[in-house]
Amino acid sequence: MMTQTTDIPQTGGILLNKAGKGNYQTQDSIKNVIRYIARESGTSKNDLICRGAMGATDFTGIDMTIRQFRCVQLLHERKGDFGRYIDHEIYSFSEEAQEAIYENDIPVEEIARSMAQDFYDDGFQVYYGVHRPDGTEKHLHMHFAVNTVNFKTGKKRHENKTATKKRQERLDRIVMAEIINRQKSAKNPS
Amino acid sequence: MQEKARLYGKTLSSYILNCCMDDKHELLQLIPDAVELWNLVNELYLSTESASSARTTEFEVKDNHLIAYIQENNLNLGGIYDDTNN
Repeated sequence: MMTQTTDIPQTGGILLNKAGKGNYQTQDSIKNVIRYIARESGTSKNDLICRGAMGATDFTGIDMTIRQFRCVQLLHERKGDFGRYIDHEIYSFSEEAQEAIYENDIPVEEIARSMAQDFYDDGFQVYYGVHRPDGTEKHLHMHFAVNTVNFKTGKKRHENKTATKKRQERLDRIVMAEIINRQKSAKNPS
Repeated sequence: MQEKARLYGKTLSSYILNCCMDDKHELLQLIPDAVELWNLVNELYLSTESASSARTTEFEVKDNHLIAYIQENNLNLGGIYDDTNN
């Protein structure tokens, strides 16, 4: 049972990379994934908490964001097929982290932005969205649409299970740090 | 590049997105800077938006305090505090 100010969630979240053979290998994939995350495609699910972008503008509208992603992809010199145009990763918060976020009234937007920064620091534009739990995902979760072309080098992104695991651990630390900071602030208000 | 943008009557960012797409050589050199510029613009917009919301909230709080003060100290001002039914 968690109290408001002293309990720190011990278990981390789960980061899932949806890239599989044949996935996201058309130009339309960028538009499809970003619109899905932003809940601007198909039936509205009313589960979007926040959304944003790093390395691109999101307040100018999704079409501009997509255009900025495509612009960077021109950097990549193709040898054969382009491969994946976008990577779709989903981070699910743990039960404990989700409780801590709700109980401490932590603005998820700030956590989301810090987590997106992790991709951007590696040289990749990212569009993100936080969704409430639904039928498929039992916990609060974040979607990341990551440009597969590095805007600094023009090289393609190659993520394996080890890289995904390491990123998951970094994202866990970001979430924990935010929760701990909030709990400390609540305990010692200035 | 900025001069070219000016000749087209566009901002640098707009020129890159709309006019440069056919000139790959020029475009490629600018992309890393363009991405960082887009990110900066986005951050500035977010800061402005949150500051604007905070300022509106600040005004509303001060307005509420002012109204409460007027009501407390001016019991005969019927429009604000009507004590005639007592």
